[in-house]
Amino acid sequence: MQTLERINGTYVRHNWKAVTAGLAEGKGYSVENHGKREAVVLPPGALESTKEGGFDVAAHFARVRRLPVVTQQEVNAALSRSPE
Amino acid sequence: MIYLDANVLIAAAANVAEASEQAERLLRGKGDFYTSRLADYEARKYLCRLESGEPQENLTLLLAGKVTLGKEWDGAVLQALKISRQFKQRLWVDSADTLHVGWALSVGAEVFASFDRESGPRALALVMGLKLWPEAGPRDYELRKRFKA
Repeated sequence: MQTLERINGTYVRHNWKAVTAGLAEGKGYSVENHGKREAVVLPPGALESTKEGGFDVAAHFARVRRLPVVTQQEVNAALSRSPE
Repeated sequence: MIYLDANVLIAAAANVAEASEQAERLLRGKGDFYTSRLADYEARKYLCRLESGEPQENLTLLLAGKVTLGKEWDGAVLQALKISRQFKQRLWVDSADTLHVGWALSVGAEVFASFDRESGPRALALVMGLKLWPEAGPRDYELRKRFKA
């Protein structure tokens, strides 16, 4: 599975049959509330089946490269690990 | 098996200068990639700070399609305690780093992948017999000495 459809929580509550049908067809959903992700719902078997192959590393990193750049220093500082 | 630390997950989900290119090379290579719920949590804790939700989504896709996510804490904690007993007061790295290395050992990983060259997880992994990615350098060997002092 390469994409997640963005839907909001209200949609899930009122259209759960459509979501259930979508999952059965292999769709994944990113459930959002005012643009903030609250859950990710993957279709049954997604974790097993996609690891067998088909994950496109090049396409994945092409998406990553389009994002704003952050530095390793920022990452290390945010992880805030420190020797005891 | 290659254990991925949180900073490698972040580099594979967000655009981290230089590190993302290295992470791509790693993930294009052969090997079973594995990470822990702990690393997933740490990575997401950082990714939550970013404006865009896309890096979090990238991480979810990566864990669904390429990297096995381990959720068994018990073995990791037991290994981390074993490390603590082995080094006693010479264990100068923090609890999370000890758990990452313990987790890698508990699942039989051969390689510990981390960009953190300062707080000690790479040096601890090295002293516990794991191979490092990126390859061990002078800083790793220097820090390794602190476990033997």
